[in-house]
Amino acid sequence: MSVDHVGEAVPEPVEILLVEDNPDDADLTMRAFARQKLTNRVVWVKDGAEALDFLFATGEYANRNGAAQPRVVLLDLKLPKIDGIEVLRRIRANEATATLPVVVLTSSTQDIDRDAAWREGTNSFVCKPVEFAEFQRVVTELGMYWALINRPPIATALTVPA
Amino acid sequence: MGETSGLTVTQDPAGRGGVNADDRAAALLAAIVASSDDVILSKTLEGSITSWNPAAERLYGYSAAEIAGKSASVLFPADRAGELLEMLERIRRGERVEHYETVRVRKDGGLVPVSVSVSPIFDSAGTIVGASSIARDLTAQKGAAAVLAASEERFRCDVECLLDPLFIFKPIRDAAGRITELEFRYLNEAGLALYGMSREEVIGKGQLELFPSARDAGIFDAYVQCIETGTPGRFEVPSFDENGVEGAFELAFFPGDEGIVVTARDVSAVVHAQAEVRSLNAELEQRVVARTEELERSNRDLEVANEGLGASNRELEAFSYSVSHDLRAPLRAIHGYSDILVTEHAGQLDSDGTALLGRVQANVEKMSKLIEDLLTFSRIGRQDLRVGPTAMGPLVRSVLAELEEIELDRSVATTVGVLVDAACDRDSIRQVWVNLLANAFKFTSSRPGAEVWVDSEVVGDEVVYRVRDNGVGFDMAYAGKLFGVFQRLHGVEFPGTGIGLAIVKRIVARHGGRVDASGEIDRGACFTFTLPIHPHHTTEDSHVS
Repeated sequence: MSVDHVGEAVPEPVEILLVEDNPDDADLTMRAFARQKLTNRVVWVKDGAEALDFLFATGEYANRNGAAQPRVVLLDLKLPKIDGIEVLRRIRANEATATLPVVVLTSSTQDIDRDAAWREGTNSFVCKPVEFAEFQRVVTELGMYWALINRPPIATALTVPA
Repeated sequence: MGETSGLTVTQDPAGRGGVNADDRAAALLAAIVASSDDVILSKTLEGSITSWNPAAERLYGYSAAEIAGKSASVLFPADRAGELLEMLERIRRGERVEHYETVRVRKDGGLVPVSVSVSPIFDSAGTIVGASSIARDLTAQKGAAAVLAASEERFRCDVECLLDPLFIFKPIRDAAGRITELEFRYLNEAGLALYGMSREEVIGKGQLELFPSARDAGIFDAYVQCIETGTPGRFEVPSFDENGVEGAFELAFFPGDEGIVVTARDVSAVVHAQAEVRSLNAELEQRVVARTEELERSNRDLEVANEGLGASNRELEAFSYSVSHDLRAPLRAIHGYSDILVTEHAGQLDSDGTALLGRVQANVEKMSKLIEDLLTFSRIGRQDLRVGPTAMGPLVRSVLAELEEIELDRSVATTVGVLVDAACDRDSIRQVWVNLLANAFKFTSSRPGAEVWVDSEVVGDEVVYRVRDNGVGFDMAYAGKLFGVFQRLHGVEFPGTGIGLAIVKRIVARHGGRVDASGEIDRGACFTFTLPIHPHHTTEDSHVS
């Protein structure tokens, strides 16, 4: 099962926003979600600018209901246009998204990235394993936890139907 | 003959009280003689003593009774015996001997200097009948004069022996009382040597007469001021030796009886030394300036080099980042899609196809591990070390516990000996122990009775740590290759990336230590590394686990 890039037709409400420039990684992530029946309300954006447009309902997402935020953002760090750390910074700087749960999901094992992500207020930092079985386990657990187990802050929770 | 002298009775002055004027005069005279401090005695023309006053007794030691009638020759030293005869002869001729300095012998044999005056004694008929002698003790005067003379002589010697020239000038004044010239009154030998002149050429001459330049040099005025104010002074004048080298004399002068006393000291050596110090200082300053410039140049070069280094470090950083991030993504895709092929399309694959996909995945995993190790290796070269005292025993035991956890299915007997603490970066040295101990575990995996020993010893200011095993060992011919990157001495039976020991070497080298390895095929291996000893190191009791 593959995921088409969603432009105007955004499913409401969105549970997971996947910010990932590598289509293979995105595909593998979606497949991992699919095995756990978690794909229904996942939106994939392929760079930092698009991620911000989505979250702040600007640009090509101007028609989206900006009040309806995902339960979690899975954020890669090395992104075209606006990199992941900058995206995180802007999410935290904006009143509407300051408490939005963000999980950095990256290929990087560099300490410098980890430090920066935590400093800018990530809620979690996860390295993508190369081995697929391990990758699948990590992605699944992330999705389960953030989309189903974790109770988001009120501002975000309001957007989720009871 | 004693009866003929009016001076006979000296011991009994004014005895019975005279009745006439002559008697009274005689009594008065006798009293004067008796109380005189000077020796007064009389003798016959033959030299027999006829009278003797108390002063004579005090000076010579004989009493009047004792000496009466004796020859006066007892008072004369042996070498002056002729003096008495000569004196008596002159008395007979009616002559006087006035204030004649000589020496007499006391009763105790001691000599005493005296001044003697001798006069004839006449009887009433005018005939010379004897001699009267008045003697004064010169001991006190002679002593003072001798001391003065000796002192003067010594002073003269001292002044003559002075290495420094000494002059005495007497001021010559004009009608108005102004000093117009200073006359040389005295020069010592050193003074004459300074001028290269004889005493006759200088004494009595004027300073300005001989050395007119003394006025322009200010010396003359300084001396005049000293004389007029009575104040000592000092003055330094430049001088030139025979080679024309400039030196200096320091003049010290003070007012004296005759005018002014001047000593001169050649301070050329001091002047030369000062000049030398100044020149050395100047040279030193010059060198400091040159060296500073050189250092500044070096610093600029270093800065440029540092900038270059910083740039290449940043490039390396970026490169590592890229490797870390970008190299993994395709690996994950290969691994992921081959996995999906095996799991979701198993029906379309035969067993060979499935096995091949398994090989693809195994290689991906290996590559992933290689990337991980390379990144670690590159990071070790760049990361700052946080060096601190590190308790080695607990560190090694925690690593061993981890390894034993991983290798639960086998039993490795580990022996931990004395482990000395070291000054090191704990995290990176932990990596060293992990790599060395993991190697020891790995290369003993084919042994039924696998054993690993760890210990240390202090050698000089270093600690040598040692990890030994009874594993498969290695051929010493390849020992040099062990610590190189990607160097592997074993095949697939012992998996590995060939970076572990390179990491060990790099970490130890960054601590200023060395690594070494020895071994023999099938007889185990021994790896050592050194670290600087911790100043207050402690050692633990060895124990066996």
